[in-house]
Amino acid sequence: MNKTELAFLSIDELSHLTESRQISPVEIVETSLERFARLDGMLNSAITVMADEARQAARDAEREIAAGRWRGRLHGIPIGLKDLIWTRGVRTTCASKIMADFVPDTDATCVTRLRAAGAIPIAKLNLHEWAYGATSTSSHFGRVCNPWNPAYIAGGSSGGSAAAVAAGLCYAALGTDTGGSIRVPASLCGVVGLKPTYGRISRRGVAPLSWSLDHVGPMTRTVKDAAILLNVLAGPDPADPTCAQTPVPDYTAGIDEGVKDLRIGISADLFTRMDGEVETVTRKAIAALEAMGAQTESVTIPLWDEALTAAIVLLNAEAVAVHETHLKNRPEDYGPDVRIRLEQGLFVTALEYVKAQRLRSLLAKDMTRLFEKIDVLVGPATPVAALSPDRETVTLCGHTEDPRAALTRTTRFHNLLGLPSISVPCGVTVNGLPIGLQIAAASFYEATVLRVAHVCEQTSGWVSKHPSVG
Amino acid sequence: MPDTPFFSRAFLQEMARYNGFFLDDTRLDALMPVFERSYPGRARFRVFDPGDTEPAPVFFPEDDRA
Repeated sequence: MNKTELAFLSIDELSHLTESRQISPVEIVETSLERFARLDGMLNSAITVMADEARQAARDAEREIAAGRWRGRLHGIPIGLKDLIWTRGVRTTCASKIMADFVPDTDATCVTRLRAAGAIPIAKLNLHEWAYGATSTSSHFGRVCNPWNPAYIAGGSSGGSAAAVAAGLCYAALGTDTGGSIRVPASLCGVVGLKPTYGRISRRGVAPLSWSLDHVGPMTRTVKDAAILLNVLAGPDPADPTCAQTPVPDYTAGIDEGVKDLRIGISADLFTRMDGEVETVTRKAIAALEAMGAQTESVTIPLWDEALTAAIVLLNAEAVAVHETHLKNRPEDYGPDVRIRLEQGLFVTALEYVKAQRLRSLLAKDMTRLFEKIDVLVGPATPVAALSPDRETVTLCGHTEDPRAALTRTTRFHNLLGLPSISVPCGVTVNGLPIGLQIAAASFYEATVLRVAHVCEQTSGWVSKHPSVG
Repeated sequence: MPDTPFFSRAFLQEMARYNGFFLDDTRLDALMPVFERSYPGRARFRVFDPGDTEPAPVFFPEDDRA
């Protein structure tokens, strides 16, 4: 096996090799570090590469495994972290000038869980400044490039996480998702991105953007790898009052069960104002699920337009509350686009905020009823593939809009209701840019989402596809 | 930039001031086009009626929390 083949192994494959001591964590970490050094000048996916710490952790893992103490599938595996997730002794910048020198004195709970499972944090990854944008073009540390074509955006806000995983710089990464920030870059970079149920993964030690919409989740090259990470990350955290007590199943257990007789809901709302090529590829992926035995039916999502506005109202109000002090004292230290988004929150009224929360309650009941009739809701993860970074508008079906609004149109609804949803690669455009399929389910039904995504991954043959970055 | 159907420049400036922020003309020039784009959705949302007393606001999916 050459170094490139090693870099693109799945965690599932690699873990068999570490357990049987055919490959040492030291070799794996050196492979990742060499790729960061050689390729990240082009991608700009990392803000801080944790080379010394990762090497030390690799040596420790090698010793433990040699002594017969293999901790599990993540032992010795290099994993990247979006740089708004706290890491003890390693700066955590939020891709912002304001936090450029902030060094936390503790790890986020999700990092503690990864370390306990033997995973090796290897880099703090670039993002849209403060996670408030869907393109990763605004960062104090420069824009993130798409590994499939560096002239295009990686998507955001977890753009560095998606780019690093797609390019084989690390084997998985953590992202965060407030309106699509895991699924959008996953779709645009051709990786798997899972936003779990609200509260499924602790957010303690993760810089907030919007308390009632934020989620942490894994980004990987295969669906099974996402399940492996979720097994470690999910579960209650006394330090996070929004974290759920719901028992954590083994998410890898039923992943191979297929989709025979599973009920798939298709909503026209999810296919509104789409790029034609993306729609064709998405519908082909759904047809492949039908061919594997799934049943599809048309469904209506209640109050779709109002729901998207409610999500924006909540986001704007909560984000400006999060940033009140910095925005008052250092407004010039925000990027222009992020500053404008934050300032919009000053004009949300209390009436609008409460109405949005009530709409959320109404929709939660409606969606619970809908998920009694269907198992999953499937559609495009993004209405367009990756865009060029200088695009100020996008026109779809004669309607011109902000790229951020277009990119998050199909994802934002699931943040409003906290529903688990995933983006899984299902094809490419004629220009070779990835297209993602979004699969959502009722709260805490991550296992069903993963099961459908796994079939999509198999039928599209995506697993063997990687960008030719070197 | 002229005033908009829902928000005048003076009103936005006062609202910002009420929240403890000062927005000068340059900031308002940057913000007003964003409001223009968000009007249709906000207008629909303003007239949306979720009912008199139910549903009550909710923050989390149904589940016991830590």
